[in-house]
Amino acid sequence: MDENKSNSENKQESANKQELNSGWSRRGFLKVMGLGGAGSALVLTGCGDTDIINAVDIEVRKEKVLPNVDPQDFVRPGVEMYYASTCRQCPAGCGVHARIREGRVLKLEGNPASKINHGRLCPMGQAGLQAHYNPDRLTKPLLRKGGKLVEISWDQAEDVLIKHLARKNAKLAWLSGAISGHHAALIDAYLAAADSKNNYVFDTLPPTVGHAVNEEMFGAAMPRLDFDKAQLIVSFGADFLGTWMSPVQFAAQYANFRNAPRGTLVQIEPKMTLTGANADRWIPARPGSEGHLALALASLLAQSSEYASRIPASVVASLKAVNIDEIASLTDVPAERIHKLHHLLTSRSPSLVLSGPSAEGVPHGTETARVIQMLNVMLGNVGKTILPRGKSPFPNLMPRMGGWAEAKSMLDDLNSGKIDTAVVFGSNPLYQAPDFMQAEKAFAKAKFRVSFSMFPDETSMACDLVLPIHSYLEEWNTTAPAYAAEDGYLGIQQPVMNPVFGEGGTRAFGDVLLAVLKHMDTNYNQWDNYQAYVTNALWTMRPALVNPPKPSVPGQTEEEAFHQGVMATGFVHMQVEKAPDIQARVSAVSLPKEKQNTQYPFRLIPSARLGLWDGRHANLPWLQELPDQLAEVVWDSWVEIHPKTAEKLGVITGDVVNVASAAGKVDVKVVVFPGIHKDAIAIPLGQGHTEYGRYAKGVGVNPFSILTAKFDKNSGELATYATDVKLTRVADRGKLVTLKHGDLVLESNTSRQAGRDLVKTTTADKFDHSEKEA
Amino acid sequence: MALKRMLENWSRLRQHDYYADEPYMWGMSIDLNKCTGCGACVTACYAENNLPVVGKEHCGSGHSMHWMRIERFWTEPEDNPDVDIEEATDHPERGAHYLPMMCQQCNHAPCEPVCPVAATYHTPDALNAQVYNRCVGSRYCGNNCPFKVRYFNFFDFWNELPHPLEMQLNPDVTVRSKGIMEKCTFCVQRIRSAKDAAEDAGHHDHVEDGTLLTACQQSCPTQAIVFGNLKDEDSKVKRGWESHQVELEHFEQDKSEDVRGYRVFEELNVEPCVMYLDRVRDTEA
Repeated sequence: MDENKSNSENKQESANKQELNSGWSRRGFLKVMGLGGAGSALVLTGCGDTDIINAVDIEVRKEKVLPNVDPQDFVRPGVEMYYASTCRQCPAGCGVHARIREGRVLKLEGNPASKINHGRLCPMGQAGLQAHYNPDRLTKPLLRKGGKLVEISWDQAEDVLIKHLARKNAKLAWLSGAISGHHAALIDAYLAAADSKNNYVFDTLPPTVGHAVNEEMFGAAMPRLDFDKAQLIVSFGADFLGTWMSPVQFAAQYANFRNAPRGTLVQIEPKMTLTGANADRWIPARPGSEGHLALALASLLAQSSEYASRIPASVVASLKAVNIDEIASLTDVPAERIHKLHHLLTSRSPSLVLSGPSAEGVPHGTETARVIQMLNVMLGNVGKTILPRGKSPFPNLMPRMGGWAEAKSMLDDLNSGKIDTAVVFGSNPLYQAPDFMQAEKAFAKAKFRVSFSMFPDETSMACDLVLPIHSYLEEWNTTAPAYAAEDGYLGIQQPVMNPVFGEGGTRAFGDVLLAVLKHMDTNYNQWDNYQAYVTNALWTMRPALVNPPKPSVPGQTEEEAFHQGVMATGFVHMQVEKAPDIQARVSAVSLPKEKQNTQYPFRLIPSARLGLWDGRHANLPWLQELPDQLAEVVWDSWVEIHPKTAEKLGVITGDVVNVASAAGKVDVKVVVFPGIHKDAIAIPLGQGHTEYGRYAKGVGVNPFSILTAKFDKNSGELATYATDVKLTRVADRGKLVTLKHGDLVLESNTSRQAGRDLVKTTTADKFDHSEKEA
Repeated sequence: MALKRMLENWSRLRQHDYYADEPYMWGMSIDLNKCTGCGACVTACYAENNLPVVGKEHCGSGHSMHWMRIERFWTEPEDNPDVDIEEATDHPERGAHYLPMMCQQCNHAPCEPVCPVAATYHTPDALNAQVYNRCVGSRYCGNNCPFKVRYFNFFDFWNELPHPLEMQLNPDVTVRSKGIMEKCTFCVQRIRSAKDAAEDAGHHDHVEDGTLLTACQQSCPTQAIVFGNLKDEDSKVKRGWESHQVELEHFEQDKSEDVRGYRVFEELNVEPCVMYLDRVRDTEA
């Protein structure tokens, strides 16, 4: 100890000497002048509005330098602070550290302690700042008067809200986006008090069909997946690096998977996703035929008793009829490739077979997912890379991902008059629902419509009362992630700064709903606000938590220590009973053989991208300007067409084509793109907003709008990958040189390395060999 | 560094031992086996470094200001019999080739000698620095950069930033105005504050490896990016460079065949401080 101390003293001394020798450093000089470390920022910031403490009213381009006589708590000019919270940009619920200076949040980083994202954050998480500081955020409540939405005060808004919502009403319907934690619990409490059973959850991307099949076969909607233990991953369209469930978490596992001995990734899908772009072998199967390919693999595996013994004999018998050559022509995957894939599956164990949206989004989606998961059972992956999930002690805090079936049943109920009041929170069906569902018309049938929203989205603009709510960086909450490697993870949200638009502008969703609830149930008067509700709930949950924080400073009470500890960590772990081993249930699957649609010869892939997601991030300029990872397009919609197909149609990149389905049509620009099956075309999701602020409105098209009415027969989910379309050439490309006239913009037109050693590739054999030596 | 001094020392600057006694040389390695091309680094850089969003028309005119960009290729550099697909197909069955590209902080930077006003120069810790106040916008440096990672402010993009988006601006980083060339700084503001923190903690000339992260490195979901001090023998980045046999002061690396390290455009002898590791594909799949 002593030695260490003297060592460090010596270092300090020598450091001082050095400073003296080199004369005054600029830094030392500033210290003496009393400006502190990075203190010059107070006067010298380059940004126009240096509102030091943002509770002071913010006026554009008016500088207010305040004397630092009476600083606010936790604000020391020039000194940064980090607050732990939870990202809500997608249902993955990553932990974040928000960097704060002078009372403003400047940057979001991953929370290194979080087991979801291990300190990392995807582009959408980074861009949460632009949702928070978005210039198109709603700042005043709006009420429809004489057909128009007009601004009203919060007092008036509350009166209207109480009048319509604070009463028993079995005809009230609530629609949320994917939801979890105490928001979900509060909505449940409200609906119970209102005596309404109409609780709908609608989100477009969560794999609802896959969840149902997992539940049926493995007893858990989302079993734990061990990517890094697998030697081989065969993914049928699950874009786990981009848009599937929890991309940052899976990417972290993927990084381990790619360490020596390096795991191998095979991706099977009609349109290349980000995951497909990183596959060792990308196999373009004909859209909708993924199930047949899996069936072929199952029948090949069943020839060996090792694999056949893991499934019932009746199922083995049903696999005998499968003809590989027939499937090869059906799937457009050569028989040789199927045999190679079979060889790969038998030689690398354990493996992991995944089923994703492009395989599941067809009318036989449930069967497809079943046969894909059957491969996992035959290969003995269950219990090795697919692990059981414990039941949470608080099921009402668990994520509810919702799906198209719920949206459809809500619209049906609206149409049949079962609903007179509709409340929307975090969902945007008027943008997302295809035209054939006629959501707008159904929505208009409700007598009173309320929206809690940050932005003027399509659904909010059709409502009668629009309440501007806080961003996720301004409110208290808890969020359970859509997928967590460890059971029982609950992310904590705390406000990281004062509301951007002051106290009179936006309000926390929880506060508004709690105020309504207080009018209906006096029990809720015990909580002053939603913060009290959440913190109190956490305190009550404490006995059920793993290692709740304990006092560490003298004089700290148990409760203070707990709350401070929880806030500093950013998440808690609930105790979860160890789950019993998975007993997989396998049944025989028969798949229909789809016929070629001669009138509409192409299959439409409404592809999701890490960036704009399902369209909710189209108003964030950073993400609009982030080039698509595969097509390199910015600020636009486009249709991806295979070079051979493009040649046949006589179109080149930049031309405009009309994409027509039986349910509608859109005009969209062509990108000739090699990573797509010849029978498929892909239009990425995210654009085509008719509202939603300056960055989103009027940009591109929404492929969801032209989907046809095809549903998965078992789950009732909309089959989003099952729409057939035809293409007609509309116009030549415009001026590709100046690009001043709304033409397609590609951030890079280069696709070939042209002999330059920019990205070199080596083989996995050599990699494993050299890494071992290193 | 005064212009006069710089000109006086010009010949010395090019000597390989000029920076030998400096405690820091910032370097990076990017593992293309792990990079998935997701773009988290790109957005993190926008947030950290006050990069302007220029809109569609300007993107089309080549005015995008992404200091870090991800290049996507569909083909191998040239015939690569090891990895090329055995049979010709119509699809890129080995996936895409992603290359995160930002200023390579060359130690023999071609951008530096052409600047008429010495606005771009080499710092003692081996950064290729850009002095915005000195820059007159000749764009010679951008023209001379083999990596095309210098970005010119054709407009005052910040004038159009609507309230309250300006509240997000990082006060540690200057907002650049029209007529200025800019580029990746290796998050120099984070380097400064880490150095200061190390001094305050009594560690003279030593920033502990791992305490200093660039914004791109911090956000990378697969941790493909490693950043650190190449003069620190124990730093992760230095060990990476050593084990992958990439050495400074070379224009042709003398390395064993299976080792993956390389620098882009090594043959130009510009001495980049960024090492890439080969992308890997399993040829049995």
